[in-house]
Amino acid sequence: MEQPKKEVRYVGVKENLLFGLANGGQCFSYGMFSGSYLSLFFVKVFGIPTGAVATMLLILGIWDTVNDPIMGGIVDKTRTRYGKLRPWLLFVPIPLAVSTILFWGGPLLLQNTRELTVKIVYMYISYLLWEFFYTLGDVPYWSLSAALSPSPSDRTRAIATARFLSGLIGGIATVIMLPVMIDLSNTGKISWSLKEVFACCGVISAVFIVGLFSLAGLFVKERVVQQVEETSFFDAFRFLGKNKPLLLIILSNVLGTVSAVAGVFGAFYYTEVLNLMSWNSVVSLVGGLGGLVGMATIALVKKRFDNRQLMILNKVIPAILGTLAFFAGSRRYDVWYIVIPIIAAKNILCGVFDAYNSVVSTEIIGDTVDYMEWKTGIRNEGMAFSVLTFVGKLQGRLSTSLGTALLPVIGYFVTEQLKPDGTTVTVSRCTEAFGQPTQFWLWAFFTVFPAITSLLSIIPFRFYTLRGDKMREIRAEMKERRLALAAEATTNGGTSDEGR
Amino acid sequence: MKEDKTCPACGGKLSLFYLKQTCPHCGVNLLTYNAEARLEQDAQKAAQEVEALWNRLRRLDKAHLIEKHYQKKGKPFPWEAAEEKPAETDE
Ligand SMILES: [Zn+2]
Repeated sequence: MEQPKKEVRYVGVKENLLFGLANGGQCFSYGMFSGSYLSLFFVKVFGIPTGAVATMLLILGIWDTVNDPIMGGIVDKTRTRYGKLRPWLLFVPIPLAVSTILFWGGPLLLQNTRELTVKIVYMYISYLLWEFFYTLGDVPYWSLSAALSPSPSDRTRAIATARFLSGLIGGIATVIMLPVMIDLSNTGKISWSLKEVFACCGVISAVFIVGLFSLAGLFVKERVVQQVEETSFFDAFRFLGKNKPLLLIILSNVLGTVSAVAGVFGAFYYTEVLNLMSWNSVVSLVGGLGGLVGMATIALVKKRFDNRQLMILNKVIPAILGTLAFFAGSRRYDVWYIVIPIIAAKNILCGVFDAYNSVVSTEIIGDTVDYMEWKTGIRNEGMAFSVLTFVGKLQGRLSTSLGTALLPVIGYFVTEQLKPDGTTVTVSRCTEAFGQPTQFWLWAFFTVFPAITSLLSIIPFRFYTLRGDKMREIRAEMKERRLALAAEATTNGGTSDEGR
Repeated sequence: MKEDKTCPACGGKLSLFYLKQTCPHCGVNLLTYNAEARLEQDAQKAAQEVEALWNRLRRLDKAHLIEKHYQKKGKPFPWEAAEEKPAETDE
């Protein structure tokens, strides 16, 4: 049996844990923004009309998407003695915490303001500020996952720890803190108004940002050393076009949109066919168990497969599981005691591969950064990681609107209405399509279609050249180069600013 | 961290807010100077931490399950890994 040589571990137990905790703090505060609480907050708590809120979310949503690569370019241009990512991670927590408090504390601060215009302007500015600092922290954070060590196993461990802890800590905000506090306020168990509840949660978020997110900048080192010269802002965009493996990953994500659209359809399965939304949380909790197994076994799996193989495997196996689940329940898809065990079993198994995917899909971005450094001498973590979040956000927006628009094709008619009190109400009607009831199609879209269409996104990996042996070759050569660079800087001291 | 306060090459003082990559006193590149030695230090520190973690687990493991597992596989115990420290990575 071939035994791969053990890599040197540079990132200690503590540093790894601190890197993960930082993501936990970040996701705790992000949770409040991403959930359905945002529109509740604007409409019910702040008292802004739904139309103005929808317009703001659309406009700033577009800005939120396009500004990622801009931040990436700024980060890549940064050169300091602390590295290029850490300065941002050291700087961002304080303004991010302040803007978080300003955002959620808005209704309390403007309590005596009657003018709607003032409130709307405040909403735009505070959201813009928060989003700006959040991105300015998010891009360097994920870039750090590739820069904290030249050893791939250090990176795997760091990303897995971060994903695990952010799931754990990040969930507290939206699953426990907000619902409980809102309930307590609504039932009069605490004498706080919703304004005070949100302001308080904002302060708690800020504490998590300063207490946890700042740990990344304070205690995690950049070990993959940058070359001296500054690159220009536009260079980062130019190099993007040369990074073929990264372009293939982006293409793979774009092809994944088809599957994401199918997933939008599936989301209606619980309410329309089973008539029970709460199954959603029960079954996804079970899926979380699979995720735990995945995080625990990723290091073992990575000994056997390289990242390219894992990217393919992570799609193929869930596709098989989804197909099996579809046929297992295809006759009785509306009977909960038959369907729920099937879905639970599928979710546990798929949860394992989802966990692998969440780690490997981040790690391969680092691989492409290493590759580009090997090829051109320049590392572009900022650009590489921000392009991925850019595509992810774009895909999310596109698939939701596309999916909702296509629903009538399967005979499902749904209108979503935002009520004046900020809650959304869905009015829906199931008919039939292609000789089958709509419910049947929802079951298919819940199980087999997203799984099968996700196979599209493995096509680009056929042309992806960064296999395990190639990456080992690149890393060995990069190590030589770094040794040479370090030796040079160490011996001829003052005259280290030679041209390349 | 003390390494952030002085230049590793000339020992000159550096302000915490001095951000440039090169030392203002001797012009050495602060990021690449002695980078390999610092990496080596980090590797040693990490190995010690891993060893300490294993030893802690070992104390919790009253039934000696970990010990038995490694004995059966004929592999060295993970808490001894730090001693025969791998100085080389290359195959
Ligand atoms: Zn000096």
